[in-house]
Amino acid sequence: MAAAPGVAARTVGVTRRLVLKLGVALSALAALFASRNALAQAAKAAGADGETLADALGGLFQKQYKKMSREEVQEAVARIERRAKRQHGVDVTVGTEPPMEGVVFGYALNISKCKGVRKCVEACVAENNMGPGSPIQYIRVLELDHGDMNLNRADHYYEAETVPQPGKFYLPVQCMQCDNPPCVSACPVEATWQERDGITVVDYDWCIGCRYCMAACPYWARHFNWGTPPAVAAEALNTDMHYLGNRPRPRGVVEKCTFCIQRSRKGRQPACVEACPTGARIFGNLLDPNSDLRYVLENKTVFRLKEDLGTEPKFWYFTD
Amino acid sequence: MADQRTGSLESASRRDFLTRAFPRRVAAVLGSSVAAATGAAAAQTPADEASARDLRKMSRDEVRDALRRIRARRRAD
Repeated sequence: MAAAPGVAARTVGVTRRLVLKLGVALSALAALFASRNALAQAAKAAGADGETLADALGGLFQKQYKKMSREEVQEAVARIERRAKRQHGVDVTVGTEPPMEGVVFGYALNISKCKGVRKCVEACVAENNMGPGSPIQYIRVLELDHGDMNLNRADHYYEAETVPQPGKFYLPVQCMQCDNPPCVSACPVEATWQERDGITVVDYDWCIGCRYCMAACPYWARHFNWGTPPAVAAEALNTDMHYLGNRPRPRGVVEKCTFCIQRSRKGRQPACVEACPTGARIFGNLLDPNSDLRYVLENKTVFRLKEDLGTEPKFWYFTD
Repeated sequence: MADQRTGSLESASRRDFLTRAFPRRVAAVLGSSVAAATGAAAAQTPADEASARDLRKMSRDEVRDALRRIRARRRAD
């Protein structure tokens, strides 16, 4: 007589419940193995440069900047400061100054004054601790023929020692701190956002390096750090840092200009503004009707780059 | 029988030529000329338009509107 379906299985002890239990147990084992690997990596990293296991684990389980409590932020800052001390042998200060009330930062650049000497680029590299010979530069100065405003024909690799060339003009391009930033919408993990003062920032510990934001940015303003940044000498290191600005960034994340957040949130001018020998750069509060910036916007011939994309750049070009 | 079949086929193909193939060919010729004209027009425009799009001069009103939008966004936050 043939056995009823299911009877044979039950006799050898294989039931649906057992299969489910086995599946759950295997999943738990896999999760344990994965976390063990992560912990082993953290411990290895800890041993590599003298980092304590507590610091390595703290970094591993760190939340996104906006989700952290005040205490967690302080712990994260202390970790960064300790790491910088170990790596560079100097004391650094990592600030977390919040946006100022009633301030939206904006920028204006006089293209009839810019001579293309790239002093702004050098100052930016030094201020943001990118190191000499860094492949990343937040400011890209383009050389164009007079009367030609097609960026596809611009030269980014001109000789800065022989400027200005006759018949040419120079157009520095950097993060436009768009009021409708496409890079922010593109980020799948909310590692980048726009602050109340209009600066678009990145949590470098939360960025996964997918580079979607780079693809979304029409101004080439985001830069991926492929390798460990060139070593900055201890005496050249800018020790005045901000968590969302020029603090040491891990390898494999996307970086960008923050209008020198470590300076601007303390009422100082960005490094590029101070370094410009021709005074072509004007930085200020867009909400202040008495600012130089507002005077320029209301009285000069102004331009915006790729304005038709609806990004609402807060970086303006003007002519005398 | 075979002649009848051939005849019917010939008449069918002549009818096809008049009703389908000829109008279709005329439409193809007209269509290609229209497409060529459109393509030529498109090929002429980009250089100037692209440069105007890259760095666009803004009027006083546009600047004022942009500032107003920025202020409004801050108020809404």
